[in-house]
Amino acid sequence: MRFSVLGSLFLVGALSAQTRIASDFEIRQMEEQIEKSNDFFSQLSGHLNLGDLRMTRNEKAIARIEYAKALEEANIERLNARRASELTRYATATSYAALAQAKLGNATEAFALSEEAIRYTSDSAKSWNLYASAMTELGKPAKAASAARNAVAIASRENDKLDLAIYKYSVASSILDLNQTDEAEKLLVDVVTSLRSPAFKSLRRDVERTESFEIYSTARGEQSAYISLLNRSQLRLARLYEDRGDLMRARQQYANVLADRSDDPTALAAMVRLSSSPQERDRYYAAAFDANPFSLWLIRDYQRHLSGEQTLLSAPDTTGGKVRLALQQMQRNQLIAARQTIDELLKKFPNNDTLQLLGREIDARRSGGSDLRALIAAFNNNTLTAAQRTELDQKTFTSEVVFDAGPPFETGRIDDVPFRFSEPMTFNGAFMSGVPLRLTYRILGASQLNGADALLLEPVRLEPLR
Amino acid sequence: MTPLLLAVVLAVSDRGVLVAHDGSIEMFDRTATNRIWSGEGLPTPSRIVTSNQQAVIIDPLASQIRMIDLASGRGTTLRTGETPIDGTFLNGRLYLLERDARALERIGADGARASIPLAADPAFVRQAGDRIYVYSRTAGVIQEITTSPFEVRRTVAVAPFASDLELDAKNAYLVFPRGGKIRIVSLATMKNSGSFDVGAVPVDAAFASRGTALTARTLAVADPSAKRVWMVQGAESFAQAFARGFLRGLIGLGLYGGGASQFPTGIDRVIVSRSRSYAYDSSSGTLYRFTKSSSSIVAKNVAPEGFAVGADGLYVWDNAVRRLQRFDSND
Repeated sequence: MRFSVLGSLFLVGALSAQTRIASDFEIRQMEEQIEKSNDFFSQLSGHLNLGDLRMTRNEKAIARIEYAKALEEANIERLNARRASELTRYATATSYAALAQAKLGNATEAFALSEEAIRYTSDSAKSWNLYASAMTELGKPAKAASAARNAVAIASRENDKLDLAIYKYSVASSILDLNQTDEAEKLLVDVVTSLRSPAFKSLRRDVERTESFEIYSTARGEQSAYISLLNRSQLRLARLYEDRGDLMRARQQYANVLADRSDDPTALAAMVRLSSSPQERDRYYAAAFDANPFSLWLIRDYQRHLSGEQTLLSAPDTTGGKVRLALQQMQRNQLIAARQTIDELLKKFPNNDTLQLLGREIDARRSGGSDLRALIAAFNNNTLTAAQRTELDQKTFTSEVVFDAGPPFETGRIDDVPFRFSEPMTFNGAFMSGVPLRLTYRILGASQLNGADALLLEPVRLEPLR
Repeated sequence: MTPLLLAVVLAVSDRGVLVAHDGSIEMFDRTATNRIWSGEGLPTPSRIVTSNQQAVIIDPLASQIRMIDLASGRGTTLRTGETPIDGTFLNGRLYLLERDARALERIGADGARASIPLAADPAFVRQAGDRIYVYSRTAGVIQEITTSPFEVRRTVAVAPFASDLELDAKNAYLVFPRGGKIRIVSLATMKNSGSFDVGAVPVDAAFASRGTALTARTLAVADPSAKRVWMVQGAESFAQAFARGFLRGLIGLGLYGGGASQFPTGIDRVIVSRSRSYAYDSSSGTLYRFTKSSSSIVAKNVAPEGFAVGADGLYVWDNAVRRLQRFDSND
């Protein structure tokens, strides 16, 4: 059986149903595979793929658990193979142990195991490709490139076009990290052209007939390897074109990816970057967030793109939509509402690092920045002592304020901190909203204003600014 | 932790026993009890190469070496080409094999550096006389390199994917796990001079006896699949036998009779020094001593480079107690 490792690009997507995260389908498939098949390769590829899929969703803790399980499987297989004096099997298991160690970030162990495996199977292109994948994981592109070149040299003497294409892709990926773009481009064009050539006509027909679409970093079987390789090669090529400013070719490659799989998160995120109109950008943002709501790159890009004028999403029904809503709420300083949106998502994705990060960022903004925000946080968290509350009740403060509307006045801001009174108030004198005024007040507690944290104040006196 | 993953390397030098581990290097006397000096090492050492005055610690993962003055322990760390894996000192200069850079680099005592490109996947470097020989695994060639001028002089195509290379003054012996063969190349002519079958999956070889005009040279060959060390010998030297167009008396002999395993686990390294023979199983980290009639465990949980054989005994780094131990001393 073919068993191909394409390295972790962490580009995984799934079916075109836009209400589901792209990797949902593959995760379910791998969980089923682990449950139903007990053989080494099913267990190993299941755990490695689950780890990679979890990584795409920024669920690192779960991903590490999966990689650790893959390592355990590989170590058991190593020992069994060695006891049985099956050295090729031992070397293969050792290569996968190395890959799992690399994914866990254990460089010394990954290198030692890779070297051990290659002592026995230096004639195996697959072993060299696994070596290259492990080195790529460790951020050692020169080592990865050398190993992948060995794989290509060996596969060139054999007659398996798909394997050769996989190894060429490995070389291209490695040397792209070394900025050897000319050779990488040639290799990627070669791979994509080869995969689309008549040589793979029958395999393509099988893919169409079975409606296969799943993309895995550790692919089992020819169809899966073909689909995954074509997806990743086109994405790499597209990115290469994009980086050098050849946007037309880049768009074409991304479009090719989306033609095969309409919810590929990487291609959709790229299309956001390459959009030619605000409408197109919004459309791709929505699709990209639905495909992978937890991509930090996408989130940061969206935050830069957001402006206050944008219409707030109303009751989104997808995870991607809810993340976008939270980001919009954050942008509008509606931090309580944003926290509520994130908390709701965390109930469904409790181990998601992206959501936890956004939650921390909201909390930091709610509690940081000024003494008044710290005070709001203290009220919200109920951390004020009785003595502090009594002291606060007795104190008056004076600040420069701007009312939102009125008179009568009910809401406004002190610097960037919103405040409100318990009811609309009218003051003696001619005062207007929208201009700085001097307010003397007592602090009654914390409140909310348009979904944002606010202070509840009791006004004592309002004066023009001196 | 499996011993395979322990980054500790030993080497026996003229001045004592070197131990590189955990970013440091230590020199012990030959009794293994007194530390002579210690100094800065490298994070993931995998090999130490020595000369009379110098040693070099090689860190292939970090692509670094540390040149050490054996008298004082002082040293200098150098960045190298990608993945240095082995080296040899010749006339005071280090010749360093950089596998993934596919190069042999010369580093002089004064720090002067020069490099020559090699064939794909250079995996083994050996020295015979004033020449250096490099076997490149994927390319399947041996390249003969002269030091003055520093260049590839001759190249011979053998076969790809050997797992070990051993040299004597006349021949190169390459071990091929796949197919279970040892191939011989004459260094004088740089031509293939024959091959013979040995074991099921031979991985590593060492010269077990020198041979004389009357007796043959013997190779000990580790075969993890058969869990044996094969002693391979000829009535005449290999080169003589092959030159005359026949292979006489080349017999693959596993020690012990019948189909019994010589070792309880699959050994994949063999070391012979004078009258002492050792075999090592890298999957379990077990080190054995063996004779023609028996084998016994010397130590367990030993790293692949965590032992070294010298004239005064076998030295083993015990990682559990972090101590150097000496076995089989002549004392």
